[in-house]
Amino acid sequence: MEKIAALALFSSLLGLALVYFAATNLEPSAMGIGQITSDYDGKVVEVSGFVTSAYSSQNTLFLEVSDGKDKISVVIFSSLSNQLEQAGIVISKDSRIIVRGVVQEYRNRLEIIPKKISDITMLV
Amino acid sequence: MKMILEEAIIAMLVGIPLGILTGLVPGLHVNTLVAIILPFYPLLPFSNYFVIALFASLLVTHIFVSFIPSVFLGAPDPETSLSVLPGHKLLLSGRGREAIKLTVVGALGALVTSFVLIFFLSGFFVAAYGSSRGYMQYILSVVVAYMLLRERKKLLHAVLVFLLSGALGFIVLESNMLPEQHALFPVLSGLFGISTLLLSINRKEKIPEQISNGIGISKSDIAKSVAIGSLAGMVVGLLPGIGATQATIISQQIFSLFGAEKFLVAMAGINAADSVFSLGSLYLVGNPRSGVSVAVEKVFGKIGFYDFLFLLGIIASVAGASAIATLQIAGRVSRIMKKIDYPVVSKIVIAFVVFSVYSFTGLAGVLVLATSASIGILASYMGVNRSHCMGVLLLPTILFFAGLTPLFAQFLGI
Repeated sequence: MEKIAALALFSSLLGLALVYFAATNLEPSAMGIGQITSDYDGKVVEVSGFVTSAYSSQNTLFLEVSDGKDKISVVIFSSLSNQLEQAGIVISKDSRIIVRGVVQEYRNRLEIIPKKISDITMLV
Repeated sequence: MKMILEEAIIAMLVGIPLGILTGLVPGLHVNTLVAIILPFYPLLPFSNYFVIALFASLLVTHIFVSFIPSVFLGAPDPETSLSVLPGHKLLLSGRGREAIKLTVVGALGALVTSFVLIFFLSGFFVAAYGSSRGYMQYILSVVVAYMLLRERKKLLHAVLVFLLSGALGFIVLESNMLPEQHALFPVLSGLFGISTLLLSINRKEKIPEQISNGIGISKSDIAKSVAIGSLAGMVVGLLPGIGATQATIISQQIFSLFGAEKFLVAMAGINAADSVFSLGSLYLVGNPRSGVSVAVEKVFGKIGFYDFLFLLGIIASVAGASAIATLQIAGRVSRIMKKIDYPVVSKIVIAFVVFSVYSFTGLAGVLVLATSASIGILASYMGVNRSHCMGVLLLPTILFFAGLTPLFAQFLGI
């Protein structure tokens, strides 16, 4: 019984290490905005483009990002928008950005929801 | 009016068998079927009332039936994962059918109670939550501390299991390594389902003949468990941040729902009440709180009072039929349990769950499944209560309410 417990402990720790490694090294798919469909709901994607509109409501930042052909909404919730503000990162209309986040469908519209600062890269 | 009634009946006749299908097949969730049906609803020769009646029928039936694979096969849905432990315990005592009866009683009782609560108490609850939200991390921490301290001499082992499962839950839920809508499936299946099956195979457990002798708890215990399940289901259905699984374990600790029977009644009640309140949330605050309510909103837009009454009527009608169907299916399953080679069936179920996890979440999900199963087995061999594996959701929830999630995520680089 003790051997099995030791084996279970080893397996748990090894598994946790592998899961952590996978989580920190998985790269999301970089894609055109037009390729994002409802099939991507819940999946992480990466898009790049320029901001065609940006407004804030109750500390949540609502962006519309276009790659020149298609547009998609990007929603930055307050916890992340506060971090961006503290880091001095300002996203406004005409900013060029790369955004990585989870695709979610909300009220019939697809949105990308980034979760951390490193999900947003400002391009010069 | 007559047409809506006819459409409602047809919707229920279609929704109930579909709900039985999703309930019996581990990993096949109501939301998956709803997502498949939703794009096609404009093509259907029925009104929107048909579609929302179909979704509600599917959901309610699924809730009743989903306990069957959990109890008899050890293969739960994420929402019913905690029922594996008490369900398996009753199964090994020849009381598997009774376990299902308890869940049926709990779900039916909570549905009736929820119909009353939703009109009289929901406003109070939303307000109360708003004022207590700032203290949720403390409330949850006290609950967790109480759970761990009950282990006395095995406190360190319990803490280890809690932290391992908590770390796994945090990494999986914060990193997006798995598709969001399926992330809990491998985690909870491994901790509670696969681990139970593997332990059962290792112990060469045999399933005795299943007897049917009514329900082994008092009416007052049933009433108490139903009431707790209904209130906890209201919290889950109306308010963000707490899911049905977390609410179940928190209710167990706060209200001393120790004992397989009381736990099963309460757990089924939470899931059933959650279905009413998550649909109710759409009417009360205009905010959908579940996959089905999101789908209802897409089809219907804003729902008014009479639309909500229509939905409650569907739920009430389907609940009765689903309860009967569940008991019938459980009766048939329990009769064949003694004849089957349980270790072989367990291996088939494990293979099926692994296949399902791979289909929905890929190899990353299988890795998570293996890790979570190891933690579940570790808990058992360390002799601590496997409810500490609920650290997988409790720890991330505590960090969320404490506002520490971004800090830890940044520290871990996920």
